[in-house]
Amino acid sequence: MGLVREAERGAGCWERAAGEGAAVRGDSAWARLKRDRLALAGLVMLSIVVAVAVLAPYLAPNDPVKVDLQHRLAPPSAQYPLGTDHLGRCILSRLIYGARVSLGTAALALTAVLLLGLPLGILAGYCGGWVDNLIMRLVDILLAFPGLVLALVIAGTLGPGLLNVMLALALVWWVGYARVIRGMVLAVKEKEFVLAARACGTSRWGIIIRHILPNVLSPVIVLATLDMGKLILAISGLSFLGLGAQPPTPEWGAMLNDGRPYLQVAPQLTLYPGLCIMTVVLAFNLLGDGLRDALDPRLTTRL
Amino acid sequence: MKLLEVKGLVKHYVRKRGLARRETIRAVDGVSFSLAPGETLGLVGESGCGKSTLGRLILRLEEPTAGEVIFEGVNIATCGEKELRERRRHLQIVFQDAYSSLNPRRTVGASVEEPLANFGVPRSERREQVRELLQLVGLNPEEAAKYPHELSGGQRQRVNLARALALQPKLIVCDEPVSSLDVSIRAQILKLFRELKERFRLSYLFISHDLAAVSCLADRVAVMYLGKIMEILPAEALSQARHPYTRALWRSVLPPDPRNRATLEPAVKGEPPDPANPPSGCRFHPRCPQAQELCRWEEPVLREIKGGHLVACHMVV
Repeated sequence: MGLVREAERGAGCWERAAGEGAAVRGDSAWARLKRDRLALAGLVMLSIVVAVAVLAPYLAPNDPVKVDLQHRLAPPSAQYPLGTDHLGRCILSRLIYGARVSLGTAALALTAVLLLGLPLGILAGYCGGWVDNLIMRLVDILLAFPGLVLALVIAGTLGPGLLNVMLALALVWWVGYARVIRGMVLAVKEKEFVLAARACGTSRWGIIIRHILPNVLSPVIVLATLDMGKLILAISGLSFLGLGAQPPTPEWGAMLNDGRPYLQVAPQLTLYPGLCIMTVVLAFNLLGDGLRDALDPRLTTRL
Repeated sequence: MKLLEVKGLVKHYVRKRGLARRETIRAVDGVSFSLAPGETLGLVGESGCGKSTLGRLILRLEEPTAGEVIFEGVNIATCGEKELRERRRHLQIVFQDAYSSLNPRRTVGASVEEPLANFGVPRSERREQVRELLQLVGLNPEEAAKYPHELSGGQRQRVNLARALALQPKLIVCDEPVSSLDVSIRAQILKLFRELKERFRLSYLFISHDLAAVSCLADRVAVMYLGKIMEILPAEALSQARHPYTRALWRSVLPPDPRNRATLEPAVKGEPPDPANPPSGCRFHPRCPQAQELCRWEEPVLREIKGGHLVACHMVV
């Protein structure tokens, strides 16, 4: 409630849209990103993958879950451009629909991670005291376990399924964000502009929404971009172990698992989804690195 | 009627050293003074003597350990959240670092507009008021659409002043407002402070380590050393200061004519002691040229020696 009101009040007559401000700045983050060829390549690759995922029904030549047992493990043909898998399903169609599943689940998991990590990190950093202690000790406990193993346990307990995998990943993944954000909030809240805002009557919510959040956001964007790659890997990994996407859902990690018994007779079953995962993760990493350099040239340590 | 009265204000910080050791840093250690409407008090002292902390305590940007800050009859140090917000309308602050005082992600217009929005000025009137405020501090109203990094240091400090003036305050705490500026800009900004003071009958608590800057603006000067006030005196009487520390500071101000430079030796020798472990007796005695045995054991109290001239020194009769 208070949040919305503050956001509205903040949008005063001197506010400028982010793009407008950047244009005046000359050497804006976008201008720096455009000069970074690798980051641009990552951006282009991702745009293509996202477009493919969105337009999957129009691009896929076949139904991704339709079984054609007469053409099992078929080589590429006009009907099946990349051949078929062990159940005669079109590999290309499954890859195309798999982009939807893999990107979609990773994005949803990341949203959940941000929804947990951002408020908790800001709360810990801004409030301090016992709130900070409570949240950070919880973070310490979670960090004491290897993340993926813990996610494996949670997902295993909840039962297989994409939703449970997302849930499990979000529950272990938010801690890194909470930590990073808490640290930045601690630094920003001592800045004079926050003191000046307090002195001129800005409420706590106003300070968090208008002064603290915008100033901690850019490292979070970088971290989130890099983590998209890691989340896709984690989801694929859990699916490969049979916990994530359940058959017949086309998901890249699950496809790897499906193709595993045929590695020697039909390596394309594992090769193509593997290449897809690699490309997308690489693209996210390139873009993330570029964003980091573009948003803050002073930041030299790798997040 | 006093505008501001500070009584026995104390701020202690606890610093952890190692696992179990804790030290208490006495940043402000029992400070009392008062300020009349329209009056400017200069607060001078070396870095680390607690003068900035004192400024922040007055706005309660930090919680005082003990003592009272009575502003317009209300004790700021203990009043409730709502009352505090209402009092701060008339009590504003300008910081030393003009750049970090402005949110880098908001236009300066938005920064100046913020106090107006907080106190319910309708949006239709804010735009015009922001323009007026910017003009008041000598800026082109068109600068409102710029971001802080697009302005010069002097312009940024003018913006900070405009924001502080937005709510028509009675007292502005100026925490070294010109120290981070180029010398060439400094005089301009000081002149602006003086003009605004006269025009709106403002009071300033003008904090600085630069006695020359303070003496051109202040009616009275308070000299602080290690969390305590050593001397309070009218600005025009600075040359007749009685406390050895004030006199040393006054000597260190370079005279305009280099031929009159009496000595080039440092006015006060050595570094200020650690505020976690202040010297016994008079805090200044280890560095004082006139220190006697008494100064090592007994702490002098601030007492009036002449109308409006207070000194805390055993050696002043």
